[in-house]
Order: sequence, then C-alpha cells, then structure tokens
Amino acid sequence: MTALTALDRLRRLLAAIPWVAERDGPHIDEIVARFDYPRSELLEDLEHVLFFVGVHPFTPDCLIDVTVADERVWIRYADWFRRPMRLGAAETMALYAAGRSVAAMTAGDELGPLERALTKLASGMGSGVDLAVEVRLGAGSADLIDVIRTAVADSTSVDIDYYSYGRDAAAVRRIDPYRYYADKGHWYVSGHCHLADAQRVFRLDRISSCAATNVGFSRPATADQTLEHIPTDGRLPEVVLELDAESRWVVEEYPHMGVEELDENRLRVSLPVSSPRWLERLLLRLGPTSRIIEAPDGLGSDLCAGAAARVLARYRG
Amino acid sequence: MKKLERLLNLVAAMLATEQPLSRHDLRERLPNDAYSSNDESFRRTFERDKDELRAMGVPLSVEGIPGTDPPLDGYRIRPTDYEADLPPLSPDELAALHLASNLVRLSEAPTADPFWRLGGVSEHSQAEVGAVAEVPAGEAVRLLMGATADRRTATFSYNGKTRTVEPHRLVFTRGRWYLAGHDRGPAESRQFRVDRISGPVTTGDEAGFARPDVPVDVNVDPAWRYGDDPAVVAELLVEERHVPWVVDFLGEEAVTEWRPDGSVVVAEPVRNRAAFRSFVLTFLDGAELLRPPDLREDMINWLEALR
Repeated sequence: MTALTALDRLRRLLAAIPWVAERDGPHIDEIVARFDYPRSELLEDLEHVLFFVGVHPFTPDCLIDVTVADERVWIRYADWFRRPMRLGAAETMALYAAGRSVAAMTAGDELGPLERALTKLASGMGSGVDLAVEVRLGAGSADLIDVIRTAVADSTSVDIDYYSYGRDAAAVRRIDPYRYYADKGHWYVSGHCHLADAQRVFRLDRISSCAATNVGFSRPATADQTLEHIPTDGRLPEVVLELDAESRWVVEEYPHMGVEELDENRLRVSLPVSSPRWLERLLLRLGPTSRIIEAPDGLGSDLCAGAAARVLARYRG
Repeated sequence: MKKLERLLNLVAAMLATEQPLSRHDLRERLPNDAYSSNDESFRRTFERDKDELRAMGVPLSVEGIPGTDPPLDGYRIRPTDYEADLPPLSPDELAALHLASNLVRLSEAPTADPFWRLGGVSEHSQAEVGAVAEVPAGEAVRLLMGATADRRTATFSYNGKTRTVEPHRLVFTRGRWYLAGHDRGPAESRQFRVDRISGPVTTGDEAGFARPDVPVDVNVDPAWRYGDDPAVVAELLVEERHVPWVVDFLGEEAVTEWRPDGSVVVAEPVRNRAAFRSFVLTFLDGAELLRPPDLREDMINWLEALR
C-alpha cells in the first residue's frame, strides 16, 4: 500500500488514542486491525511522534505518556483526546440511512444488534431528523428476498415462476442464484438459469412464486459478477426515432447511442433494441409524438401496427 | 518538526484553551520548531493547516478575541463540539452497522473513517460481503444530508434558476435522490431531483430554519395521479403474469377484484389521462382498461391511429 499522508495518520490517531487510552494495554496487532494502521507506521507514530505531543509548556506533566512493551501499548495523560471526534451530521445520516435500508429488507428482529445500533445513532440527531433522510432500495416482499438470500448463502437452487418482460411470457424455471442486488428501485437475482442454460438476471417483482430446494450447486469461478446492462456498442439492433419535446423522457429513461437536437425542441435519438416487445411498448406509448426514422426489418412501423392490432383485439372482444 | 506532530499539538492546544487564541498566541504555545518564525510563511502554513483540519471534520471555531480592537480572529475547538456524543456501540452493534454499510454502499462516501471514530471494527467481525446496492452519494448528496440534519438552508442552481431551500426530506427512491422542502424564492413547497442540480451546493448556518411539524415530503406517486384533467377512477384488468409487479407497485389496496383465473382488477385515481394511457400500454395486451367509458374510448382511438 502507498505510504499514509500526515492527514491519514492524524485521522487514525485521533480515533486510536482514546480507544487505547481507555484500555489496559491492548495488543499492537489489534490496533493495526481496527484502525487499518500499518504496523511499522503505527509504531513510528507512537514512539517518535505521539511521545512529543502535549500542551504548553511541554514539561513532562504536559505531555502524552506512551509506553510500548511486549507487543502492547499504553497511552496515558491524553486528556485533550479523551474522546474520539464526533461524527459529522452527513456521516451520521449516511450510516443511519444505509443501516435502515438494510433493516427494512431483513424481515423482523427489532431487537437485533443493527436495530440497537440505529437507535443509538438516532439518539444523537434532532427529533424528526432521523427520518428525514431515507434510502429506499426497492419494493419487494421481504419474504421473497429472504428465500433468495438464504439460497445464495447456501448455494442451493430455487424454482421460480417468472414473467419475462422482454418475451412477455411466464414460465417456471430452476435457477442457481449467484447474487442478489438492488438497482434503480428494483431487486434482482442473477444466476444460472437451467431453462436457458445460461446466466440470466431476474427481477424479483416479476417472480410470482418461488420455492427453495435442497439441491446444491457449485458456482463456476467464471460467474459474471457485473450487473447486466443493455449494451450500446452495436451488438443489438438499433432504431432511430424523432421525438417531440414531451417525449424527451425516453432519453433519460433508456440507454441510447446518441442524441441530436433538432428544431422546435425536437430531438433524434438512436436506441438499442433489447427485445421486440420492449420496442412495441415504447412505440405504443409514444404514439404520434414520435416518428420512426430508421429501423431494421421487422422493427419499424409494421411492428408498431401489429402490436396496436393485438392490443385492440382485447377491446373489440 | 513533522507535520503530523505539528497538527496533533495544534489540535491539543485548541482543545485545551478556554479562550479563543490568535494565530500568534498559538504559535507561541507550540514548540519552537512547529511553525516558521517568518510571519508570512507561518501565516500560509497555518491557513493550510486550518483548512485541512476543517476538511477532516474538525469543528474549528473562529471568534473575536475579547478586548481586542479592532477585533482579532481567535481560534479554538470547543470540546462540546468536538467530542463524540453518541452512546458507545457494543462490538456486535458496531459489526452489524459495518456489515450494513458494506451491503448498501454509499459510493464516494468515506467508509472507514466513521468506523474508526466509533471504535474501529476488528478484523474478526469483518466478513467479506458483496454489496447488494450501490447508492450514488457524491458531494451534493453529502452536503444535502448534512443540511437536512443540521437544518441549514441549501442554495443551488436548478433549471437555470438559483434556489434557496429549507431542506425537509432527502429520499433515494427508484434509483434517484429527491429533495423536498420549502423553497424561499417563491415561498412554496417544492421537490427537486438532485441529479438535475447543476453546479455546486452551498449551505447556510446551522439551525437556520425551524423544521415544521409537518415537513414537506418527497412524492414519487405515479404521474397520472396529478394533473389538470377531471378526476376519475379508472378500472384496469391485469392478467395474471403481471399481477406480482402491479400489486407491488400500486399496493394491495388498489386491487378491487381478485379473479379466479389469477387476474386482478385495480382501481386508480386519474388526473392525467395521457400518463395513465402510457402506463396501461406497458402491459401490451396483458391489461384492459375497463372503465370509465370515455377513457376506454380514448384508448381505442389511440390504438386505431397506430394500426
């Protein structure tokens, strides 16, 4: 690791001094681990810096007393540093909000250590302030998250009844879940799908039922860790649309390969098409506020007209 | 003298004093070799030290020194501002909090330093866990968190206008941060998307406004519930394959009928018809707008034009 700067060391010392001073000679290795303080730098700072720290007039009674012996450290007479520095409002808020979002996804256990820690953090905030900042990871049943989390932790397969948005169809699949995560307000599980015989990502709110199995799996070393995104590198077919001002949301909502501003606040955007169903939805929603400028065969106005006719069939009975 | 030694002595001197000290008093109270005897180079080094300590979060206060005229700036650190005031966390509480902050990572936020100040997390309790969520938390979000907690106003540029806001709520939802509060400009309740703030956020003094009993809340209800169209309640039949999602999204209270084939009927208040039509079309032929008749007619006409 790169050498610590003076400020890196100061941060660690201001936290470590009160911690050591409160204890009867903790082991050096414990200080190293707790404060991520490389051993040689810690020893250097204790014996060659802290030893000379104190207040005016720096007579022995005004200096911090440091003893390093038998792999243990004692710090005495460090009254100015008797307490660690307080957490700033933003830091406390960040910890609290992250902690609460985790507490919300783990069903129950109101007296667990996390809940107790959060209560203590909240006690340092003004009334009502504890609830002022909130991180909502995603809607979703805590019970389902619980089944998935357990299956990931135990490496056991699950059977899910899954609605595929891209194919607009539901099917039961067995999956080997590798990891679960929240992204943009939704929960996902990624893993090996036995039906597709490939790695896939599933959105939890599209799983209508989920059953744990006791079938174990071993996770391949090459399992993809990254979140799956719609590629914008030309691997997918593209359509070029011209949009009215009121349809600019498309540009914020979906990955695209470039936007060109036109007259009257209109714009032209090039979109990768991850599935024909996705494009059908988009074109039906946009209606006359968009024009198809370029599209590969089967992804142009025919697709839109076909989808409109299919939906209309419901209304015509 | 080493910089680390100088900074430690400087912090100790400022914590130990009960009166604010001028920078020259501070120089005299530090060992001779702490600062240069050249006044100009001392001033520069002292200013930089002060800035760096502040950036670290050291609550260094500047006060006029009593009895000086013109008043001289004096510096000190009040122990009541500096010292941790939380009840100590037990090792299992600290470990649970540490685990939580690893699971849900606020990106760009320092992860280790707050935990050192809470007593440090020992290696043994630190199971390596993969994050389940990465929440963007850059400079603007951190400043707004602090402003919301400390009741500071926040000033920023939004849609080309400068706004000064009393922040009440800061919520990360559906992948974005939203700020809700009282906008002092037009004096009204407003909500902002943090990713649309352009340029830096500056914050006012602590306790710069009173938090009302009923703070302004972030509202991310669906767009069709707000608008200028006459209010109607629309009924939508949703096929079984979409039911888990739609019930999650609208809540069970929206469901007025559970049909034996697994489909449901949901009722939604609509004040923006275009937004609701757009929502219904995301189901393709997996949903049907049942009532009221004029909304149904609008939908048929919309589709006819696309056919």
